Amino acid sequence: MRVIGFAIYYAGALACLLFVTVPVSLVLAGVSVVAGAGAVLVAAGLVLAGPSGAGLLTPDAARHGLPGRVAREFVRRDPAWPQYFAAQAALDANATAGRAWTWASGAWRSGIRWLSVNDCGGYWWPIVVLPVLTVLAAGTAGALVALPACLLVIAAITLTAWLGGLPLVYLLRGVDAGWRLTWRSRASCTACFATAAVPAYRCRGPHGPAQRSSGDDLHRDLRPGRLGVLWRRCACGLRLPTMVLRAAHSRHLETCCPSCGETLFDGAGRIRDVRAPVFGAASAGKTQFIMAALVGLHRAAERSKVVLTMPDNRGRVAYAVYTDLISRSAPAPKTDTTAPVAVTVRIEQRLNTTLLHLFDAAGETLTDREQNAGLSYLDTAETLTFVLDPFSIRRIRDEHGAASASVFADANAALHDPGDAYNATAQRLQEYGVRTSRNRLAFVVTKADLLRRLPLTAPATDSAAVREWLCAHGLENLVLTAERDFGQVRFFLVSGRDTDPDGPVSVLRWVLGRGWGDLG
Amino acid sequence: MADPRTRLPAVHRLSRLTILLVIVALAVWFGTSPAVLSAVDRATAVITDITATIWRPLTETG
Repeated sequence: MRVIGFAIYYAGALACLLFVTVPVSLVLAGVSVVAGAGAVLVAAGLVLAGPSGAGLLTPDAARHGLPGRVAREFVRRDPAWPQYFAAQAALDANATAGRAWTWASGAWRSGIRWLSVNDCGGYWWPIVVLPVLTVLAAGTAGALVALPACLLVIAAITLTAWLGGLPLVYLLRGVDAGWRLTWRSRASCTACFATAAVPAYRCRGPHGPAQRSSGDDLHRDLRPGRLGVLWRRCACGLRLPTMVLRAAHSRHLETCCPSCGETLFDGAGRIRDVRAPVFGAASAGKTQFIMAALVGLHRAAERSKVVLTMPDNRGRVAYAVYTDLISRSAPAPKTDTTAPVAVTVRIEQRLNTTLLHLFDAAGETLTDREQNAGLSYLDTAETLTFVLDPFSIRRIRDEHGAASASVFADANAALHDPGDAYNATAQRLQEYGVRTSRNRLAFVVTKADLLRRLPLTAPATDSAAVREWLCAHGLENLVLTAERDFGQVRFFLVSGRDTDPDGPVSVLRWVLGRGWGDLG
Repeated sequence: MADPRTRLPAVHRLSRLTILLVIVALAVWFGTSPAVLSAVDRATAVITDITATIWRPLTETG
């Protein structure tokens, strides 16, 4: 009897499986494929249109989580949102796949658990097991087709963005670099003497005191890149322009020194930057030369309708003192030996704008090998100015020292040997790896007015005549050494009290070079 | 107001929305394309055929 019962049950089960379950499963399979594909679309929608939060590459997370390295000079990743296609698109694709996987695996787990809890439907297994397994398998198959398609779309759009963005990034960087090369622009700091092709920029957005003190408001590499092609979004939410050229005009950014954080002059990094260190022995007349050169430059600018301004208060104060001393024919004050003085002048004529930094250090500091190690501004100057006091030349002193004692007293002659004064700085440059053969040297013989009071034939003011005169007075070695060390040397004879175009300002014209040769 | 350090920038949301729109547009285009519609028709026909074949012993008498 039992055998007959089993036979009837299994016959009915087989019939049910064949005539009902299989057709129903076929229909369910079709529907489940579409549902699986639709679930992937919903997953993508939830990731892409959902609320932002988890899975975001925030500026803080990007500091270490964004692929690619930060160049050593830029220290660390700037506090800005990475460009969407730089990393977030990949994270979103990953999140979509993760969500689809979570749903699929969850569906399988739930389905299998339901079957096991319910003993595969018990006596009803013929109409339960196959449809459940069919729905799970077909749904997964639909998802497996739709998910790669979704990821492919994200990948294609990301690739398109990279293909368009990458050349644009390098084009814009090239524009910046081309501008720097053409105008010889650079950002230089008069506080720590560091120079940089790309200055740092401090965001003026709503940063808290903690961010300000930790430097989290500082953008060290504002070039187009992973953090933005044309614009970048600061961590504070402010939209900032990329490129040094555009950043210089932004009211949201303050140009800073990347080394010490000191605020730099307006336009630093964009406009031409000329660093002009003046060196020589103590009492050689360096400060007097700078005073006359600055006052003369101001007068020359007025004559040429060129706008000349002192962009910082320190420069304005120094210029006021210099003007006063020059008008009274008073001697320059002794330069402080504690720190070198940097006076910056901004010269503008239409598109041609130049920041001229004149660096003056005490002769004692320059000639002392230990102290001059800190004068790093010497290393980054294209043109240096060596000031030589003719009254410190041994032959002049020996021949005229006694007979023209009053002139020597007025000259307050430098006691240091000119060769030693030159060598101390030249050797420092070479020890610090400066290739002086690429640099120019203005070899300035000062105190021309006093020199003419001596009973000797003073040279003409042209370079060859001054050179010849120096050689004739026992400085041939120094002249040859200077000419061997530097790529170009020009000799000048000036008076530290002369503010005419032929005076010290002529040296500045040569130092400034291109674009300002006819100033004054 | 949400913390700007964790609030996705508008341009990011726009990029996400663009991708989503492209995905939806492609899905709609693909789902309504003649190839897919004819594939659905063929699948329906196959299922109908299989069902009819299975049920033939029940529907055909004598």
